[in-house]
This record gives sequence, structure tokens and C-alpha cells, in this order.
Amino acid sequence: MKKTIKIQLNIEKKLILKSLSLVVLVASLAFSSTQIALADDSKLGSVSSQWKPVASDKLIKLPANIIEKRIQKDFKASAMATRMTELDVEMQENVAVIKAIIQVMPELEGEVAQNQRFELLQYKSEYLDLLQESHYLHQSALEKKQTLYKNVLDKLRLQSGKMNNNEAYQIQQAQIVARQRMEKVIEQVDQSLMHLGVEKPSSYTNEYSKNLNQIQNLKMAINRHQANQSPKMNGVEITSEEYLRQLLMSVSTERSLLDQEALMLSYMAKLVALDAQALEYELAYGDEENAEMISEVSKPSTVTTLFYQE
Amino acid sequence: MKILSKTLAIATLILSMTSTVNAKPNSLFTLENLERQRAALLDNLTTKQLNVYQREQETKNLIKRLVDLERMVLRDDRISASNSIMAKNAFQSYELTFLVHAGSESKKLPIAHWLYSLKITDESIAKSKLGAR
Repeated sequence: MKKTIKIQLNIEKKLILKSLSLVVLVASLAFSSTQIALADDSKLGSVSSQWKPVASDKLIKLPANIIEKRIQKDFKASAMATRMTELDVEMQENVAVIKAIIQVMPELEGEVAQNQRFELLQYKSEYLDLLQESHYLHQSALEKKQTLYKNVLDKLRLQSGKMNNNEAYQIQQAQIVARQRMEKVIEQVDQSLMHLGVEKPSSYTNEYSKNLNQIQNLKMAINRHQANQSPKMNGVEITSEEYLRQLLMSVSTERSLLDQEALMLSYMAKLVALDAQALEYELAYGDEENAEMISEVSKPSTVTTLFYQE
Repeated sequence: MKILSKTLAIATLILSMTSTVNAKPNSLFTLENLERQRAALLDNLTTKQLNVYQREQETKNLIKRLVDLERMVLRDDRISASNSIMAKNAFQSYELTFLVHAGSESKKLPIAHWLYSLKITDESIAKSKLGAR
């Protein structure tokens, strides 16, 4: 008898503990599901998982397609990327456990089933916490990339603007115009030299025309060189500014997709909160089927046959 | 370690190559030479030490040298990169700097083109007075 009372007390204790932890879980889930959209940056992005890229002058001097690769490489080496990889691994493990629990659930009954449901909720909650952190880090990385690309683009524009207004640039343009003007009358000048009695072309003219073809070949080789090629988008060569604008556009596309994922995350959290609430009610007020069975038994019409013999 | 030393070697190579290409002891050397020859041509026009034949022969030689120098200056990218006032003035005043090529455009001899560009005519010379500047 004493043993039975002890067991009953233990069960009650367990039940109280479980319902207490469920209340806490429900409360925390309800809180977190409303807070997902307003995620507190300071809590999610710890100092150890940060990435602080800078649009340095060295970065701006690189070709646009290399700028992108350099930023990606810098990001991969950051604490933020490391944390994101860790989170991915943790989430994979969590999903495997959740799948295993869901698979065995239909075979379980009674308290064991309840325990499994409780564990499942805990794993789901953990998974959502990890997903929320990962989501925050992705969002933060994209924001930083966007700021970085914008800074690089601004600096490039500033540089080209400065160049266009620059004295050296203007002299260069004046020289180009003067050279084009000269090219038009070269033959005419050579002929007039012959009229003046200068029949032999100078050594400069001879050597220059000999070297000109070689120079053109070398120039073409430089232009064709892969390290000197302009960035390409869909096989078409584009300017560095255009390339950076495309990169900015792809970042905003990724960001809008992340916003959609945030909505999914909040719905998943809401569902887990509702599951937890249902389990809490079940523990507190018992199973509905049992209650119905009791009510059936309490109806006189269902038990009349017990009082007479046919 | 191997990759690091390779990267360092490549960086050094790039640095040495770019410095080789950009080596410029005096980027305005050709332009200065052109200015000297141009001055000699103008001096040849006004000097009283030469007779007509000598002047003609000297002018031919000077024009021949000027043709090469003008082309060298117009093809030399180091001159425009020098960002100097001398280069700026040279390209802005094409008519006066590149006398042979500009003269060819207007179908005039270099000296005639120079006089024409500065609006110096027989009349204006006749009207002019000799004096200290």
C-alpha cells in the first residue's frame, strides 16, 4: 500500500514538474514567436560571431569580379561564417532527432507518448532558437555586404568623378584629341616633306612603323588576358559600376527572401507554442476521450442494462 | 608556407613590373626637345646671320626634326600623365605647338602657319616699332 502511495506521489511530482516546465516552455515560445520579427540584435549576434568588412582603398583598386571574391573570402574567414556553419551542423542534428521521434511516436501510448511529445517540443523549440540565430546572422551578413558594396560603389563613383574633373585627366583628353587630329594629316605631312626634298624617312618613322604592329599585338594580348578582363554578366562585358549594382540587386533579392523565411519561422514557432499549450492543457485537465468516457458512464440510459436481466 | 612564399614572390614580381613600366626619369623630355626645335625654327626665321639659301636648308632640317618630335610628343602618354602646366599649354595650343601638322591642315608652311595663328601680317610688321621690352 505504502509502495503504491509512493509511486503515485512520484508520478504526481513528475507530472507537476512536467507541467511546470511546459508552462515555462509555452511562455517562452509564445514570447519568442512574437519577438522573432523584432529580434534583439545584441542577444543574437554575440561579439564572437561578428564580421566587420571595410571598403578599403586596396579593395577598390581590384577588378569588380575580384572584389566580390575577396569579400566572400573575407566573410568565410570571419567568426560570423564559422558560427553559421556551427549552427547548420547543430540544426541538422536537431532535425535528425526530431524526425526519429516523429517516426516512433505512433507506436507509443500513455505516459511514454506524453514524454516523447514533451521531448519533441523541446527539440523543436531548440531547433527554432538555432534557426532564429542563423536567420539573424544571415540577415546581418547581407546587411553588411549591402553596406560594403554601396561604399565600394560610392568610392568608385567618387574616383571616376574626381578623375573626370582632374587636371591630369583633362590633359590626357586634350592629348587624345590632338593625336587624332595629327593622325588625319600624317600622310599629308609625309608627302609635303617629299616636296621639300626630304626623300628618306627618318629613323624614328621607320622604327616606329616597324614597332607599331608589335605594339598592337602586345596591346591585344593585354586586353585579352584573363587577369585584365572586365567583369561579365550573362557573357556580356560590363563596367565595374554596373557589376556592383547587379551585386547590390542580388543582395536585396536575398534579403527579401530572408524576410519571407522570417515569416515562416514565426509561424513554426506559433505552431510549437500551440502544441505545447495543448500538451499543458492535457496534463492539467486530462485526456478529452477519458472525460467523455466518464460522462458516458454517468448517463443512466447507458447503464440501465446493468440493473435488469433480459 | 609554400603558398605564402609563392604569393610574396608574385607580389614582388607585379611590383617590379609596374615600376618598370612606370619608370620616368623626365616625362617632359620630348616636349622640351620639341620646344627647343620650335624655338630654333622661329629663330631661324628672324636671324640675320643666314642668307636665303642657308635659311631654306636649315628650315628643311628643322621641319624634318619637328615632324618626328611632334609625333613623339603626341604619342607619349607620360607627357599627359605628368600633370604639368607645360603639357597642358602644349595640347591646348595645338596650332602653335605642332606647327608642321597644324600647318599641313591649313595647307601652309610651318612658319606661315605660325604667323597666321598669331595674326602677324606684313601690315602689322610694317606698323610695329622696335624697342626694348
